[in-house]
Amino acid sequence: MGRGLLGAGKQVNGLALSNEILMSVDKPARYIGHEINAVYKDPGGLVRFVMCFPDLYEIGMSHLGIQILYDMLNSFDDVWCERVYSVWTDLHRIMKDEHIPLFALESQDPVKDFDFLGITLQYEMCYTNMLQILDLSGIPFYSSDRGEDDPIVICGGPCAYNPEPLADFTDLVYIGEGETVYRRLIDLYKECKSAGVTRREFIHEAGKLPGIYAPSCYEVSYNDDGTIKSFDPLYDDMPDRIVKEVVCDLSDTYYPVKPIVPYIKATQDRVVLEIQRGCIRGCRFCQAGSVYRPTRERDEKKLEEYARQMIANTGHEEISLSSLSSSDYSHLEQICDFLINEFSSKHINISLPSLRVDAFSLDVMSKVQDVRKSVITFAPEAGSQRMRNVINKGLTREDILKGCREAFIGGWTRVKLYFMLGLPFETEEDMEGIAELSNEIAKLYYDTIPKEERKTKVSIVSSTSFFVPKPFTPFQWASMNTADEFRYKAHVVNEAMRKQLNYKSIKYNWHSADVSVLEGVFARGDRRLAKVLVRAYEKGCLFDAWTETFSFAPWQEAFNETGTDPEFYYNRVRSLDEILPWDFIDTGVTKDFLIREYENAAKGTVTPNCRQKCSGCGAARYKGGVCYES
Amino acid sequence: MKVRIRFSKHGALVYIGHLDVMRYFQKLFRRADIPVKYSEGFSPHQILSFTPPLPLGMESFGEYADVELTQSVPTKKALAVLRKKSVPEIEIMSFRQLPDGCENAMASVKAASYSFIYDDKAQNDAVKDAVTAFLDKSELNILKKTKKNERIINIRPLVYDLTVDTDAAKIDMTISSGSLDNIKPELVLDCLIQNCGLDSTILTGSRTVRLDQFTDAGGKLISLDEAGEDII
Repeated sequence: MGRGLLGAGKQVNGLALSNEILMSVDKPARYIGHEINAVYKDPGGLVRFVMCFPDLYEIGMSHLGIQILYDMLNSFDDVWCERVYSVWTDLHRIMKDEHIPLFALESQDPVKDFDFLGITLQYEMCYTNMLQILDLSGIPFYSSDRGEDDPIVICGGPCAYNPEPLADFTDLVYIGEGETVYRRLIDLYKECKSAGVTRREFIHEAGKLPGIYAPSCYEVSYNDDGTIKSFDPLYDDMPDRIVKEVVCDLSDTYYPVKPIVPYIKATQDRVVLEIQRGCIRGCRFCQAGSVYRPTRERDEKKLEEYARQMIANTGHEEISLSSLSSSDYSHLEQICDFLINEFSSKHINISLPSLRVDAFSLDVMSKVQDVRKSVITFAPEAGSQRMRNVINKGLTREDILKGCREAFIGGWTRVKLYFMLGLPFETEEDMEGIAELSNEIAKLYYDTIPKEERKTKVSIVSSTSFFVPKPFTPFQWASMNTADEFRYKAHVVNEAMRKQLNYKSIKYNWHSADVSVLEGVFARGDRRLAKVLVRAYEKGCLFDAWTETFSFAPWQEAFNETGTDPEFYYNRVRSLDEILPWDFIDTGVTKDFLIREYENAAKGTVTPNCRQKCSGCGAARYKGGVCYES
Repeated sequence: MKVRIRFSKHGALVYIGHLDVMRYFQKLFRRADIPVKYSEGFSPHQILSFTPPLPLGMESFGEYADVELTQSVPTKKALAVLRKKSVPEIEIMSFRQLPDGCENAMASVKAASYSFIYDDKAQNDAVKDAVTAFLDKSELNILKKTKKNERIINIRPLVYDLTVDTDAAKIDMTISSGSLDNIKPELVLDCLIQNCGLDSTILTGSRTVRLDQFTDAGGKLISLDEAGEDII
């Protein structure tokens, strides 16, 4: 390890920030690096990559994707990958006032001196944080303003499936899973660098690699009504469509068995075992369920080995499974048995999120958790069976009640329910159904557990979020509700709750409508939103995903001052033949399939899951995963 | 059996807080496979006790953690594996068995030693004068502020040793610490400035390092380290 290399601009403590500054900000440990398993290299001759999660350290450190890419890039002898996260508002002000450049955690070197700045986009509300990273680094916002010495800014992650609102800020966008093309990208970079080609030429060449999109090499024109007229490459040698990258064999790829262990408590202070990618369910509102197709599983024996190594390498006291729907993993019983047998006696907690509530999962949970303290969670997403059919949520009222009954008998008394409001084809009955289902579950408890056996009353917590239509889902053409409509719907649910017999056992929460509206704008936005983002950032918008820092008024001003109508983006019904900003991306799932699913939604027709019957979504072209299970 | 571990906390790690250090050790013991004893009950935790929290930003070469083990581990072996699994900025300095009935790390601290490094030899004479003036007095009253209250105390009997190292431009001090009569090195500096004529510019660019912590062994201060013995 090459620690203690005192480069230019470093303080005596070897850090980029002085003692005085570190002592004046909240949680200075966010900015010092030096964690267990952080990678230090001698930078001489290496391609310098800095990977950014544009939110607080505690959030970013909990993200598996970055750990995977960090591990992979550092496994290359010619690359040193470091990390950078958003700086909290206290340090932001100091760095702006004192002109301190943003730095990477490991070397504490300025981000601006790196070859690549990679940014993962996990949610729309971090877009202003991306601008903060560029701003504090001293890198121009607009790709077109950057010089030969600026890093190549490359974005990836789920929001990159519609990269257009950020198109002007990014040099390259990686569409799909990072494990596959980075090696080729680094090689191309080294070739271009030694050949002395310009930044512009490199970006052009990189844009020809599979899965890599170079926004500056494409031109968009618009119709009078504001919709897209054409989206074309500027050069003949650029692809018309960017095909998503996928790791076909998840058992034979990188896995970060030495994840970094933060000093301060991260949101995920545990070992995370990713058991599969993708989801067979096909819920029509879910972007992840679409863009991560086909569903691919990791080999169970390998996972056991990873789990052992990761516990030994981190010393974490908890291990958790990660996937979109763990219950669909073919070897769930084996992996659960393994975790219990291997780790329970070693005082390592096992957490099993996203498990369907049934006899098996209740049995497993009773072994690994304190039943009295734990909560049973369902995500019915909609209150009525009709609406659940519309969204293709394959969870019936009977499933929920059966799961709850078994849970109550098993000793659980707390139930959490997640719903969405504002789904397409929604009626007041569907909204009231949320209250009715909540009540039915409470009633079920009192019917199931005799009075003398009740140790406490039942607690039902029902939460609604507001539905935001996302690209590459069957609802990508749908209108999203206005903030007022959302608030009205939450009111309808709240009133219905109060009419329920067991309303004292039910607590109802709903999300902020303003944040949802903004998310809706950027989720389906286009390149013209870049100026809104810059204006909002200039007005001080930052950490918009955090309630204590979010303010809607400056966003409204930013829309007004840039002559942008947010309703055009979130509230308008798009016609099926409109050119959508993200149409140039090919995720494998075809537009025909999405249209078919939209029509099925309108009819309330359920589409079977991938294991029941192939619905011909198009993902089979990747020749792997569930599409090729025998 | 109970083992006492002495460790340093220096470099960049002065910016991690006490709770984070505790979590760090819990994970370190698991990485190093040290047979730590867990409490009974539904959520068992490692039986672990630390000396009082080190202020954020201060370096120390005398922090202690007491930990119960289910079986003995030779000092040499434990040190090798703990050092390998720790970061250089938390250096494991010793690993020694405590006698039965020994007070835990938190309770046994009676004094602590610090170096106040002012780093400017031009100040040596002024510092020497102030320290001499301090040592000449038998009573030095100063306002001690805590989170809860503030009161005037006589600091002089709580300062056991105060010397100037002119070569290193630092003041070394051993002062009362722990649950009874706890004072901080800053209070000694305040007193040197307010009562002994030292100019407050001495604080500019200075830093304070904790050197060690001590317990009372029959009227004599000994390092917390000396309460235990190496495990062969």
